[in-house]
Amino acid sequence: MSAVLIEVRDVQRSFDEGRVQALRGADFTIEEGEFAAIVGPSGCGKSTLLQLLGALDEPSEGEILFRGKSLLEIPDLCRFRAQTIGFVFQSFHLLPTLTALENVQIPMFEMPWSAAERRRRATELLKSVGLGERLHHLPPKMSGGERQRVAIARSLANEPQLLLADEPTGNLDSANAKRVMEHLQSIHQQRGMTMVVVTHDWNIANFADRVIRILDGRIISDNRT
Amino acid sequence: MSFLTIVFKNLLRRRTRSLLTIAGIAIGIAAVVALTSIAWGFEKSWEQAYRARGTDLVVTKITSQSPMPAPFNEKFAADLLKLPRVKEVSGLLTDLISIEDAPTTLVFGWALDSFLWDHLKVVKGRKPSGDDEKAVVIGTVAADMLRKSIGAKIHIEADEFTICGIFESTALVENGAVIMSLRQLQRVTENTGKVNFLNVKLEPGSTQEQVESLRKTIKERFAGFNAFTSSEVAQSNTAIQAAKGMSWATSLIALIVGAVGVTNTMLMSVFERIHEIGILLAIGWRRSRIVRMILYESMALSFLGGLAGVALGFVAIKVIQTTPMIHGKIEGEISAALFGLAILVALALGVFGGLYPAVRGSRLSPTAALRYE
Amino acid sequence: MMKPFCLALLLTLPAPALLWAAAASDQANPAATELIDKVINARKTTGFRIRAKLIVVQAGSGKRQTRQLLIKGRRDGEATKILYQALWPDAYKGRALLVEKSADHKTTGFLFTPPDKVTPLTPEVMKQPFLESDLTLDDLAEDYWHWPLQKIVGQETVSGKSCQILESRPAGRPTAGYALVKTWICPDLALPLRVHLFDEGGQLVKRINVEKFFQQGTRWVPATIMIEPEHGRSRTTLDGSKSERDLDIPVEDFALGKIKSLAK
Repeated sequence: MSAVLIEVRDVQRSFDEGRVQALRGADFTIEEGEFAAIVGPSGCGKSTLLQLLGALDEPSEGEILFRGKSLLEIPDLCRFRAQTIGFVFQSFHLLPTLTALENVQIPMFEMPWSAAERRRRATELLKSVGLGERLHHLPPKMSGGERQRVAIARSLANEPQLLLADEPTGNLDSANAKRVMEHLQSIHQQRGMTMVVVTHDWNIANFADRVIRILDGRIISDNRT
Repeated sequence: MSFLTIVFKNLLRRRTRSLLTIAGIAIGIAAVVALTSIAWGFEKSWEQAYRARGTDLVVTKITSQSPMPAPFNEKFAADLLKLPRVKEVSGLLTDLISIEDAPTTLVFGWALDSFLWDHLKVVKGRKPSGDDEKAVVIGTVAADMLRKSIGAKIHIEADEFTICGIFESTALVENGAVIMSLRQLQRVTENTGKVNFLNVKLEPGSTQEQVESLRKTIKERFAGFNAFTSSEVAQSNTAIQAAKGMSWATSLIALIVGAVGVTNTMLMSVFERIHEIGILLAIGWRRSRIVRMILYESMALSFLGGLAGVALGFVAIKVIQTTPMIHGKIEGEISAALFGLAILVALALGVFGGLYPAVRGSRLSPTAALRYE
Repeated sequence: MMKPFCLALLLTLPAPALLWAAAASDQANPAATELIDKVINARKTTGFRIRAKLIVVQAGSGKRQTRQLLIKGRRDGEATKILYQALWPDAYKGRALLVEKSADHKTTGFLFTPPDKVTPLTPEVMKQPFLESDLTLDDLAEDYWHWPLQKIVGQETVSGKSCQILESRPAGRPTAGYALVKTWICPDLALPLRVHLFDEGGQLVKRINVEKFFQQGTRWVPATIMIEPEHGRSRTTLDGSKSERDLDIPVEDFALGKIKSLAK
């Protein structure tokens, strides 16, 4: 068995001074190299959980450990996110005024790389998601599938140890959705990267090695395939 | 892609707004440039007046509340001549006099054998021939102001003089002045035996240190008197101080308006980009980088506004100089220092105007900002 | 260039205030007395010299005419002398008004017109205009601060300054041209900012406004004074270009011989 990457210890998250309980108690670990899917209907708390895993948000109760160290003890969470975590969002979240190549370079400003190095890495990443011909296109001129592949390339920009995807296929038709998931799967396989995908779609969940089901803020099942 | 690419692409997104902000800053900076240039030019012109006279030190009585130093006994010159390295001392009387229906005019009384006359170029006529001659020379600008030419009569205080010459000076303030013999001005202003400036010339080849040490000696030995170098005289002149004060006050107002414009633009731009800032924070940009991005944007706007403002200001100076009221009296100074100052002020404006929006932007919570559409 | 300086004129009469205050206190309101003393004391000096321009603007044509004036004053104990002399243009040069006040406020003096016409100041003469301006000799000579009836009648803001309104009336039939003078005095500046002059029928005859004033040392002094007659065809501005105070003006300057010599 491989090492534990993330340990979620009895985490709760409530909003509006406790009136809204988004997450009522999650307790699990994710191991290094794992490809996990968190599945549940919309509003079940799965996106909240993903944001907590990505250090975008802090739990109301409990704690999350990354390689045994509590996220609360990390002084510079922005730096931590930049160097450790890659994000893929449902609505892509690309900057519309920047080209595909430029969008992929954005996270790289936090790394000690030269402009030429940033450009080389970004070009390579876009080629790896099949967008070698679309480097200089602006996001609004690209299809949804292309945009999400740009976002995937961007999430890999700083060679993260963990890739978090929030409904990555939510805005795509089934053909494009399948293609995006195949890309994620091949990244997982080629790089051995730990991945957590949040989805409501069982077809997507089936790409993962492990499925965590969540309902009303509670984990109701956790199965490895 | 460099960091600045992002900054410029952000600005290009809202071209009209960026241009309007640049225009606002440009106008503010143009006002600063034009006013400062004129205030500096004014000061320089006084300074030139003393330099041109070959004066090393100017000695006056310490006077408060009056634009002109109080007159004192001209015999004091003899005391100064006894000091080391002093070659010549020339007493003069300077007064601001309301002449006929012209605006208040600067009138000098110079001893006819003084070295002060050496730098004047009499373009028409001659200088007064003797202390008893009721004659004056007037500068070219004064001739325009008084609408008088050579041979005309001019009433100064209770007396009537003949204009015997018209001169040109390298010092612009002198061009607007009337000059007569010291004795005559002492008589008409009822200051017999008195002067209010002593111009001191040192032995040739005196160093700056020697001038400075003589200045100290004069201040120590003669209580109530002060000695200035040429540039200090200009700086301590109340009129120049008033002009400088006015220029600063007006500039400040222009700059505050400019800064409010930048702040407004940058705040609007931050509010429009809450979602984007959320993305940048989510994918790992540090808050300091968000601050830098917004500050660079506002500084880029103000830098461009500064450049345009300097150009506009230089044009304004040229236009102001050709207006009849100012023409020939004040020459605005256009220098690298002024250019540098204007750009620095513009950048400061950018930092000042962009700071609050930048801090606001960087304090956004990434999750809240991501939800914001 | 610079145009500060001051003008005392009407408002600078270096008068024997305290003496009068004691004599008149039975009829004057104490607050009024105090206010007048404040103004007069702020203006007290051994001697002064003022250079000013008198600018007369015709109402219809807007034609401007300037006269240059020299005003000198001297105090000997409680007696004062003030001399107004025209310096320019030639048509007026040498014309002079000498106003002498004895310690008990008797006004004497004369009007001098070159080459050698001397007119004593009778009530008739006093109604004449001074150098064809909107100021009468009365305006320059009469010292209504010393009229027996003084009363503060209200408060109003003039030129942004809070002023007390002083009403001055002569005893019995007015010997001077006016029967009532209202003065708006700013106590903080110890400076009158507006004067309204009324005739016996209670009609407003003339308005005098201090348009510009500034601080000279510790004192506030007027720089520009506007004189507007209620039914006149012109108005006059008195614009000070230089003022010196605490001087010793020689007594000979006020002698006829010296006054005549200016005209030559």
